[in-house]
Amino acid sequence: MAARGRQTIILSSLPLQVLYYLNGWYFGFFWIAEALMFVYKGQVLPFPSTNLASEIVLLFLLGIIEVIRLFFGSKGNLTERIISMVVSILLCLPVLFTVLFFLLWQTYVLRAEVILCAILLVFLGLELVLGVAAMVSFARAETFR
Amino acid sequence: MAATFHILFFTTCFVLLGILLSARAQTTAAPGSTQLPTTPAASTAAPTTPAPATEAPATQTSFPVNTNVGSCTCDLTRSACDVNCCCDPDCTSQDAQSFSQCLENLYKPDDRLCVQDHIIVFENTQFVSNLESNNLFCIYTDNYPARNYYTGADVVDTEQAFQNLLQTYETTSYSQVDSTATVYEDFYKSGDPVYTVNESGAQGTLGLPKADITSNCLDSSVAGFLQDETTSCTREWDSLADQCETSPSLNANIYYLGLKVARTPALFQSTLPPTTTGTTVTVTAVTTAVMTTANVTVPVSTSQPGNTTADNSTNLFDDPDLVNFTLANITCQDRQGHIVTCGFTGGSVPGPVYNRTSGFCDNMVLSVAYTVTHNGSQGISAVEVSFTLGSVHSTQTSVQQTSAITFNKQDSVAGFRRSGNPGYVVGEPLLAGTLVETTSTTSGEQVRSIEVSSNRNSWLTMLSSTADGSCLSSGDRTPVVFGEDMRSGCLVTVYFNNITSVCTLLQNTITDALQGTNPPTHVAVYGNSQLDAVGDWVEILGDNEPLVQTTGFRTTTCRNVVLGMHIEVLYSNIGALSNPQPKILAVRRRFENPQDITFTCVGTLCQAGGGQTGQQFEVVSSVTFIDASTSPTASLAEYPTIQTQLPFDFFYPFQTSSAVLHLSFKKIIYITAFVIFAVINR
Repeated sequence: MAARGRQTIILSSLPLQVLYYLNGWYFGFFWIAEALMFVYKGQVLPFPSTNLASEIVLLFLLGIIEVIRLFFGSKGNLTERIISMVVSILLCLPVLFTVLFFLLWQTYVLRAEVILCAILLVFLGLELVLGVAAMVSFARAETFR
Repeated sequence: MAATFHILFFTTCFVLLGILLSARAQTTAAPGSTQLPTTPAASTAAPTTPAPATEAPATQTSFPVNTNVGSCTCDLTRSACDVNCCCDPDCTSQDAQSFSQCLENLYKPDDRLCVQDHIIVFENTQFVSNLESNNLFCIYTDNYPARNYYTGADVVDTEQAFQNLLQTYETTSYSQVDSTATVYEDFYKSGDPVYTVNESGAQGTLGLPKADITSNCLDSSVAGFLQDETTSCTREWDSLADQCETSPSLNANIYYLGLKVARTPALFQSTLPPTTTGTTVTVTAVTTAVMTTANVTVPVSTSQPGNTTADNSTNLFDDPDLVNFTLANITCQDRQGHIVTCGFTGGSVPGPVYNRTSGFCDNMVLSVAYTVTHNGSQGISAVEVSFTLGSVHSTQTSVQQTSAITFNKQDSVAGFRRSGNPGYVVGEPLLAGTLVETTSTTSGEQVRSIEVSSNRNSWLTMLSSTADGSCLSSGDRTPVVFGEDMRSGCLVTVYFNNITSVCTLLQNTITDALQGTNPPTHVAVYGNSQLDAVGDWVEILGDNEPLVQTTGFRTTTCRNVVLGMHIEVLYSNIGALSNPQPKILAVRRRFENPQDITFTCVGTLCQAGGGQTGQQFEVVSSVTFIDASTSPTASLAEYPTIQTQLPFDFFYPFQTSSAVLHLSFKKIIYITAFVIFAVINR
């Protein structure tokens, strides 16, 4: 390949980029819906002390982490940077646990939340798999340079 | 840079997750831990006494945590079927078929759960209850089931724990509350009771009998310091012959004799027995004194300030700080109700005396008036008492008693009390008087001014009745007070003794009763109208007296008798809406239409001749206050008209020309079909 000159091969994964794009829009919807559901739950249901507050704080944390993860993921994929991909993949772990918390362990899990969190988990899983694959391909291309 | 961010968020996220999960574990574990038998005392006692078998506590029925207890509360009869109790295991299916309904207390848990887990319980019955709420926002996973169940119903075995629970949850208690210790101030404040001491040294308050709901006298009413008051109430008796001389309330002496008024409440400060808090202080003082002998005397001497000065044996009645009642003036009425000079000398008042031959109870108290002279915070300096004594015949069963108390500042000139400043105050008498013209001594000009009675209760008056409803002789009349609509009536008795001859006299009596003597001609516009500012007074409209003449007709009828008078006061608020000041616009006196009164007798009274029997006619007067205030009306600007214009190609696909609303029939069909389609598919 090197003998053919300065031809560049695009290693960025298109499915991964599509996923990141859709995930961004979906997460915005998810976050607003989740926040509204906390309003609903706070109005309707009795909460043990401090549970509601800490869960809302966790929702804000999830928003920050997820935005960073998506940013590093999509930029890393486009620029074929391994380090960005690593950050994105590692950030999958706190996002995974937080979403699992909202799916399983929070005080009241509404049916709508189950659906929302499940979709987000599907996004997360696919991005994890494709992200690792893309990172591996970047890394292999790195060795040939 | 990115890596540090990542580590930061990673750690915070995990820390928060850990906190949340541990909190979850705590909330679920908390009810379970309360259910555990908490007997630390027994475990500590165990090593000292080696395994006493009798001390083992009886096992208590415990229910699992967070479960619904009492799924069949209607099963009350053991080993027999309870009627209409579908969950009773003793009932056969045949029994159950005869039930008209199922009585069991339907368990109503949180209906936001997606599927109610208790439905299974009811599925075996023929009565199906489906409480499933399967919408999007039902609770899919419930990590807080404890919210539906009671917790912490542990049996309490120590009194300390009982007291703790009592303090937390007790709402009302029947146990005696610690009454706040009676505090005697250094001086009277307005509204405070006026304290008295009687001959035996007992402490009391100066009473002012008030009318209870049946207008009988309520002797437990208390006069308030600095609160001038006039009350009127009815004293009843069963037999005046027996009670005339024995009933205390008819005797003038009980209103002042053997009674003294405390100059200030400070008099009683020294008489207070050592309070309970004081004794506890001494108890603690003693216990500390056992340990430290140095300061024994200090707390003891401070704990009982009263006993050191006051001698327990002296009678409080002899205290120099008490004020004697002085007898001011006594008005006497003879048996016909006329005011006469009293037949006894001053200094004391004779008690009521019943005259068996005439049947009159003489020297009965008709009114009591206290006049208290005070000097502000210096307290009361003098108390005067005045009486009106009169005679009541034993045929009467009640008498109207009037009580009054007035407070005067020492060495002060009695001021003219206004009825408002400037607007009338509700409850204050209407300022009314007559217009007089005098010739000024200095300039010789005619000066017009208003003459007003010094007794503010006789300004504008209505008739009032005696206790038995008959019309009073003029003098004691009800004042018209601002803002209080009132109707009063009294009865005139007409005897069939050639009734027509007294018709004119009768009408004069009635008119007199309606108007009183010297009825005022002018009413003040404001509550503080000046007497010389004639412009601030309005003349009372209407007739001064009935226009028609009363004439007799045959022997039983008086024609054109006016039996009623109505006063209508038109007023209007002025000033700020938040601080309205009523101003009187006009006052009208209106007599009722003249009517014929005919003597009619009923039944046996007629056959007896009817000469001595009287017939009663009601004479009515009323006062009405009519609010003629004009409230402000807002004048609003017109709504602006919005000049809008659609873009010329607004209906572009359907219409290409710029002329608006030129839709063809076909296009309208298309549009409607589209709208209907959209609505259906919604």
